[in-house]
Amino acid sequence: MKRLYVAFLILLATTLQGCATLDYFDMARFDNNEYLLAVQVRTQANLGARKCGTPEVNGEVSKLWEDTLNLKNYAESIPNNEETITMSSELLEIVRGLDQRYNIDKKDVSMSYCTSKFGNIEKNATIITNVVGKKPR
Amino acid sequence: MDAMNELKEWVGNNNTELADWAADAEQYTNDFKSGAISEDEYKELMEDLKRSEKISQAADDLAVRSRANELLDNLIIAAGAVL
Repeated sequence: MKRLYVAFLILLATTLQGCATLDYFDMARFDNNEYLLAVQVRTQANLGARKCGTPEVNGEVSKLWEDTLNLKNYAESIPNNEETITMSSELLEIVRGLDQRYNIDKKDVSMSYCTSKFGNIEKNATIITNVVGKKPR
Repeated sequence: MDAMNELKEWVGNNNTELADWAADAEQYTNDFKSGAISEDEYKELMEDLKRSEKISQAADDLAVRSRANELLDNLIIAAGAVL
């Protein structure tokens, strides 16, 4: 009851300072599934890079696209989750270019492009994993 | 002064994240000049850097917001223990 009273006082104080302050504290909390999906994207980017220059890379790209789409769709289903939605949407657009070349246009892809692309995706997925893992419990 | 030198000078050594981004841009430019990647691959990789910047900004926002929420939670717990 005391905690409820204190929480009410803090909420009242923040409300008096403006609704924007209150909105700031209304955020999505740590979610096990969201964290796992982010880790899966990071891992898949790492595994995919090893297949650059081999016929197996197409399958790895498809899996990466699926994992990243899963992350974005899952993040979108959580209320007050704007930052994670932005991060996963931008990452999906980066992965889209890779998928387009390998699985839709079926173009010749250079080794340097392949390794740079997977490297950039892994770097971004690591950033996402780190901040999603530190969401308040 | 060419665009790459201008970029390096602007970034300087003070901002690790920007320096990292500039190093990637330089690597892609060198790959393109040496013929290791095609023009459309080069353009795509450079566009990816802009998207990476948006991811970094959102990550920074989320980290600050998470910390603020944690501090507020701790404040509520501490106040509850005192009363």
